[in-house]
Amino acid sequence: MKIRKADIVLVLVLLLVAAAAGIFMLAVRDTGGEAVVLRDGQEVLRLPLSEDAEEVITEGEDSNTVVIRDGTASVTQANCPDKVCVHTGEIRYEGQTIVCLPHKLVVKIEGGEEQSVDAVTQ
Amino acid sequence: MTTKRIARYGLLIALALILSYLESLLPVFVAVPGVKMGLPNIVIMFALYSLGTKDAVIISLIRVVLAGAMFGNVFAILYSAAGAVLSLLVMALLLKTKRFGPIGVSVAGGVAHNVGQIIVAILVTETAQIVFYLPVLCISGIAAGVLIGIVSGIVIERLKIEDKR
Repeated sequence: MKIRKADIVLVLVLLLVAAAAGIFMLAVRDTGGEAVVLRDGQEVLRLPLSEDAEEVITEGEDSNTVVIRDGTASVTQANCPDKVCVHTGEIRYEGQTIVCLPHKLVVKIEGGEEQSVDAVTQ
Repeated sequence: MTTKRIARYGLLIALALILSYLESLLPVFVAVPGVKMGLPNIVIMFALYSLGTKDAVIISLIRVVLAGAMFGNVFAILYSAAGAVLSLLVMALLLKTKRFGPIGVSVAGGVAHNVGQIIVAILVTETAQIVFYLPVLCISGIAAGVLIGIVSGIVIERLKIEDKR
């Protein structure tokens, strides 16, 4: 099988663009203040990251457990089929999200502190 | 539609479904949703090169619907259909230029798949912030695309179909 020059150029260009976009996004995001839970784009719950909390979000038979601990938000339990939201783990910076597509549920970090050194160098 | 074509579709769709199943068994090793090897793309690449764009589109869409029904749900279908359509479009265009080998075509397809999925995720959840996942997904998509491209290249070379119809 032949590897063409165009293949190598394409891979390098795509890698560069992705890396640049990644660095840009890391640089612009802030550390967050609140975890907002949205269903279908509608806000259902707002939790400050500074206070530890545990909330079970239910809608019909759908349920997700959102936990705030040590300034991070995570979904620890869910009865959705793929558990992507649980595997996503902890989020803490503005713009980060946990998505549960089957339940149309999104947990996102909003507002809060100014951009800090940690957020940039992490 | 000839019997030969029906048989060929059946064989390739079955193969793609087995690879989808195999992929659903692999543990999620990165904490980012959507990171996948894209094993079924080996079959789609083969169909694209050895049969033609139309056949690749038909096989890909049937695979998405069946795999979604068996291993996923309605959202999984919506999600991967967007990725599959965009990725096939890009792969067919790159193949038409005749400048790229299987690796380039597969990498572009992988990245296009990720972009399609992100767009659907943003529309379904109405959360623009999901775009933050894109750089990570793209890098994993490029890596997976290179591997799938190498495997597809070898398969396409070894399995020559003489009668394309």
